[in-house]
Amino acid sequence: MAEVYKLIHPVKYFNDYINRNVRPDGRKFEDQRNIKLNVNAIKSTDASAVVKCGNTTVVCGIKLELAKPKAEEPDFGFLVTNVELLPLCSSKFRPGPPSDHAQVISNIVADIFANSKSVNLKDLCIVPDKLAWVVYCDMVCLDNDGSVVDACIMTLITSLKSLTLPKVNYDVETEEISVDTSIRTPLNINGLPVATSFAVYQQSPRSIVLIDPSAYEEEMCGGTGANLIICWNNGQFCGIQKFGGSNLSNEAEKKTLIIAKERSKLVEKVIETCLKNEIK
Amino acid sequence: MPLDYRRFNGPEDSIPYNYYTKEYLKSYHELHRELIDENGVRKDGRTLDEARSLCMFFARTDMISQAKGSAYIELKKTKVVCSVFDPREIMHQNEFSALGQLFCEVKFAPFSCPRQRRPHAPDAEEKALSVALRKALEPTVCRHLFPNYQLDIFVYILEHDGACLAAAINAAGLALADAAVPMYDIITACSLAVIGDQMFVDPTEAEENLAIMNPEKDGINNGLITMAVMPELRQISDFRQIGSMDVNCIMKATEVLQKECEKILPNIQQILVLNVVNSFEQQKQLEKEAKEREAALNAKMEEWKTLLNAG
Amino acid sequence: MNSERVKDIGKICIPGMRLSPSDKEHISGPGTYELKGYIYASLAGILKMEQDESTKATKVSVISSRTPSVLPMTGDIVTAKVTVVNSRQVQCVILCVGPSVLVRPYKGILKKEDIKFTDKDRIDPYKCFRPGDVILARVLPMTEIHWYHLSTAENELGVVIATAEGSPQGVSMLPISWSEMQCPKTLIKEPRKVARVIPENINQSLFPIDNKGEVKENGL
Repeated sequence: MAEVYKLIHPVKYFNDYINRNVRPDGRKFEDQRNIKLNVNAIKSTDASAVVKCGNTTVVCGIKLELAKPKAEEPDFGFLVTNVELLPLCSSKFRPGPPSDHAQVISNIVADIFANSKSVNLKDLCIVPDKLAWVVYCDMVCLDNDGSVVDACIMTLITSLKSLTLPKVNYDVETEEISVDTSIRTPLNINGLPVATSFAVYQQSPRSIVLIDPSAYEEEMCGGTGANLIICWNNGQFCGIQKFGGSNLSNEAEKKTLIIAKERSKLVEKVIETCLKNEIK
Repeated sequence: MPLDYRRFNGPEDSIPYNYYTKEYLKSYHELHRELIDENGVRKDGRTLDEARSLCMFFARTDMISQAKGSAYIELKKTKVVCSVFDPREIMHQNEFSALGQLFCEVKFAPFSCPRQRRPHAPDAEEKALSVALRKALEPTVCRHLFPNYQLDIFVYILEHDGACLAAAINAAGLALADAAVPMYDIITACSLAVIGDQMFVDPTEAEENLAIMNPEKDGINNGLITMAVMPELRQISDFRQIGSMDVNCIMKATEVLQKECEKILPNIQQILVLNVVNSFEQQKQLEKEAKEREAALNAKMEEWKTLLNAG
Repeated sequence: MNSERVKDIGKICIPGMRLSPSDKEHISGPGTYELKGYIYASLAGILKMEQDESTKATKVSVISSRTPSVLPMTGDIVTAKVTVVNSRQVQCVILCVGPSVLVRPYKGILKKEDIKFTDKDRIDPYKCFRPGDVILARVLPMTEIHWYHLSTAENELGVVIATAEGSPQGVSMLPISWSEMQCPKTLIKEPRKVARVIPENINQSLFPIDNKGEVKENGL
């Protein structure tokens, strides 16, 4: 019966929850969902991670390739990140080339990551002007239940942290390359960017901020994704984005910043524990 | 290749690093010798006729919250996710069709293959697998129940270590049953690689790769066979063979595959039965709670009524 | 699996299971199909055997806990939301079939002459429906691909939930006659083809239309 009510009276249904200070999945406004993280589950990659925030599931796999650096940046390597929102993760996506929404998400993740300066691209260069690493990071969303960007950033950074580069010998005279996979060095990562999504719901006269929104909440707050994404890296912001939704008061904005900071500490702890357990 | 402007692209001429490792330059014979030792034990410790379904099989349904039905299957390293959605309109269709259609899409993750990175754009192999999956599933689904509509079945291969099509068919069958799509029977599938006089049941990627490689001598059996079976109705819904082999070899392979498919059946049956039990218990719990709430509501009503009557 | 848990559920079926012979005493019901003289299960669920009073035949069906992926059938009562109204017909999306909710909405069409049972030539769709109204309708035989033909030519069918022009979302009008509804807040009256909904119990007649979901879900 509740299903029918939800479909026929969507706004009233949602308001009934909000009026009682609870969200449809039973969380309080400032509760986030449980995070599950697993490293190196996929053996065909050079590094991989799977994250589950509530129902949202994102897998990140990294493949290493070699290429000649760009002529204008001879001592820089390449790091290519792509987010794939598959048709299987939600009925909203159609098969075929990525939708506008998928491209936006892909762009946000790449932006956040570039701004955080976690990876120095110079570390990926092997021989300037001759040879450099290309790190392909493909993030694949298997289940889209909101806050995809958070999960993407989390898997990306976790898999990069567990990535090791094999040793490459480059003969300058003969231009011969040989790779020794038995010797591997980890990649240097500075800091740990963490993204936190919010949805802003206008219920006049107040506007309510929902943390870590589910897909249904994102839809009710207008728009196909989260309304506000805040990223925190090493005590510094590396991206705040607000897309549509309702207006936000100054106090509410300050509160969201503090919450994002708290959450970034928690997520850092999760990632570190996970990596530590993996090494053992 | 045209540039994909919807994604971030790396440099055009990048090459996987394993091209420069020693592993890459092995000959056919070296590779063959590696697959199996003198005691007839394969690299991962299985015997030739042992499928991964018995010892390394993991499957579950209800993976994806947004889909109507979903399944995940793991055959040691091969990992496959499948989701099924409700019927929807067929785009650009003008004719009335009495049978519903199945739309299948099989996709490899860019990082799924051990050899090289897969491009994002769908390639011929993915298309071939999609068609094979559709053909295998069509006889099992009661398609007359949704005329003029199509059912979407998406399969995503997270890691490819052989027997992809078989895993995809098994996963799709489970996901369809999970989505409560009416089906004539459960579907199970298995594959087999033939290299010379050896038959590798449920092959790994390395074995598959060697099986489709051309042997150096002519007249040697080599190839891959995948078969999908509806066990209860005793019908074969799909049979697919590539490579070259003689008739006796195929007859023998069919027999082996038939047996393997029957071996997988109890695994799938168990999952489905467990699902029914779980959902039944859940429903019972919900009904109990609803009853309690209704009782509380009625009590409150009575209270109000007495208040109203009292004025 | 332990037998304790399974005991009180009943007989569990999975697709392809042979349930019974198909003869005069056994009829194949929902969730089953007939093949070569036998009835088989087509869904995973629980077996249900019902005896029909008049024919003395047993109807064999399989009840699944999920709503099966089937489409609206001719004769079903559906709940739909009106999207477009013009002078000849009304377009809508079908949201529910009977009690079950559809995940994907399907398109429905209501021709002018199928709106009311009487006065067929004087029907004005604009005075019967507005976009956004939730209606009850019956499915007519399918003649076009992708469009379900609907009918509201019955007293019990028509508009059940509607919001008056200018009223905020979520405030529904109340029926005041078979052809008019009134907004409880703004007191605006609007013409509609009103469905005569029989109140199920006192609860519903006290708080019209919908007060079940909210109370139930929150668990008080």
